[in-house]
Amino acid sequence: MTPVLEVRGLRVSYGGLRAVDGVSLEVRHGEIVSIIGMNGAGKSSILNAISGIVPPDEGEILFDGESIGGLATHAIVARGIVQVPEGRMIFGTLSVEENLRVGAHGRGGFLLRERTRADFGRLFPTLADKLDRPAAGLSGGEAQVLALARGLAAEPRVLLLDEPSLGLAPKLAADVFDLIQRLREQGLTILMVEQNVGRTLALADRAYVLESGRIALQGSASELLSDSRLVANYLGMSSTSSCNTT
Amino acid sequence: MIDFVQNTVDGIMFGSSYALLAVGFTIIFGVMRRLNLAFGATIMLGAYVGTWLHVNYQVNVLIIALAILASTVLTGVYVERLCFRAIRRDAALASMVSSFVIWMQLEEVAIHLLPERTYPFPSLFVVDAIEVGAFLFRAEHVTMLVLAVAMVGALHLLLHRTRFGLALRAMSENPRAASYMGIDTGRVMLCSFALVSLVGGVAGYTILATDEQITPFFGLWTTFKGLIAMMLGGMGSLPGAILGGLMLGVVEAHSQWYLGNEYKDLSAYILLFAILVLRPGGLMGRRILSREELAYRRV
Repeated sequence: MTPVLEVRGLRVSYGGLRAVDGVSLEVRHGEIVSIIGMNGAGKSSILNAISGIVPPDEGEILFDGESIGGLATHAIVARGIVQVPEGRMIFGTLSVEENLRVGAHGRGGFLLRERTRADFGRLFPTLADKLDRPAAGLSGGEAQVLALARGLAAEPRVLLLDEPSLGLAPKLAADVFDLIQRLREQGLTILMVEQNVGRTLALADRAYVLESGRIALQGSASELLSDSRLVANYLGMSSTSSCNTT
Repeated sequence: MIDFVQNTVDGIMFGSSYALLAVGFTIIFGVMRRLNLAFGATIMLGAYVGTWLHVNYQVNVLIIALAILASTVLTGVYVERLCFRAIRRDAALASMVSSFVIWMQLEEVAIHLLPERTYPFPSLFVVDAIEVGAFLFRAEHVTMLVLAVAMVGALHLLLHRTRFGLALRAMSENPRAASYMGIDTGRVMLCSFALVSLVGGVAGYTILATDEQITPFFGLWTTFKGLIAMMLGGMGSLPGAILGGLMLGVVEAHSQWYLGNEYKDLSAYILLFAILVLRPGGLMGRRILSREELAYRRV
């Protein structure tokens, strides 16, 4: 089966500093694929290069076998790849519904479709009765849910999630992971970056471990969970665990 | 008492055009986080094209008005391409400096179009002043207010009821997030410039139709009035721009009446000084800032 999204030999740098150094990865239809790594390993840069936010130095990005490298972000969103950015970036001065409508902007719409609205009521009951409120008044957990919902309003085929559980209390983080699981059940393909390695691997089909811009390990989630190197470095089960607390 | 009311109403009517100028500055500042110093000159050049038509061809006032709006929009788009699109997002200072240089360029074009200093500007229509009880209002001032209210109303609908308006507001709050969400930020910028130039063109036209004359200094004048009104209200705030414009108009009207013409501009600067000392972010600016902070703290 050909992958929906494929990255080949990606190199990204900022002002001469190389953040991503020759990364190749693929995401097949209906999969949750995770990129794991420490702060500054280049995880977000990969997502930003796929989204067209950051221009890559080198490498190919293929969506459905077609190159999307060099396209502007709005063109990439229109094709069906939508990123939920790190830090949520919801529009605080806009209402919750307007935030969702900005999401719908990506697929060329203005108002929410009835079907989308019904989906939201089911998937995001916490937001359903706050549609008219300014988004600045939402709690951190609600804001993350809104960021996800806003991304979905663009009706993507591939969703890129950048640190969806960052800054959330464990209970709220668990809710967000549940939500991601339910999105996969709806047939969405997901590429996510996470620091919460244990939870991510419980959710993901496959994962790539990134170190200093290069892929150090890759494999199915279960393979990686039994890999001693990963366990030692990222899961905090040995004395060298101090580096993964973020 | 009658004088006071008369001056206040006159001030509000003339201030409504200041409000439109401030709205122009503030929308661009909101969307780009950069100051477009060429905005006043854009309006001036547009008005010059209309004046040139008037002086050379004696065409209908309506056609002149349309020509002014069209050339203002074109000039605005030219400024966007040259000073804003071509310059990187994080180089705000470079945009500002180049927009200042383009101001000089546009002024030069206007001077070559009509070389002498002062030209007559066609009035909208010749109507006697309107009497309401003890009060007397110039028809041009009433027109100014009506047009300004219509523009602000249309702008409000545009910002809150259309897809472009939503994109503009999203971009004003967080351009990066807007980009992630698939908003074509380049197109929003271009359309914002066209929109703002249209608003500025209307303001410029009604002001000149009241003055019945134009000089190349009109660019400087609109820049002053628009920037002062924007600063009074708070940069980036639309309600602030409207409030600031009206306030500036009222203070000018009163000082002109009670202190004399030579104190009109001085009182405007004193007002600006007082507001900046008492509320450094402008009247509506601080609230906007703190709300933004709030939004950032949550993410």
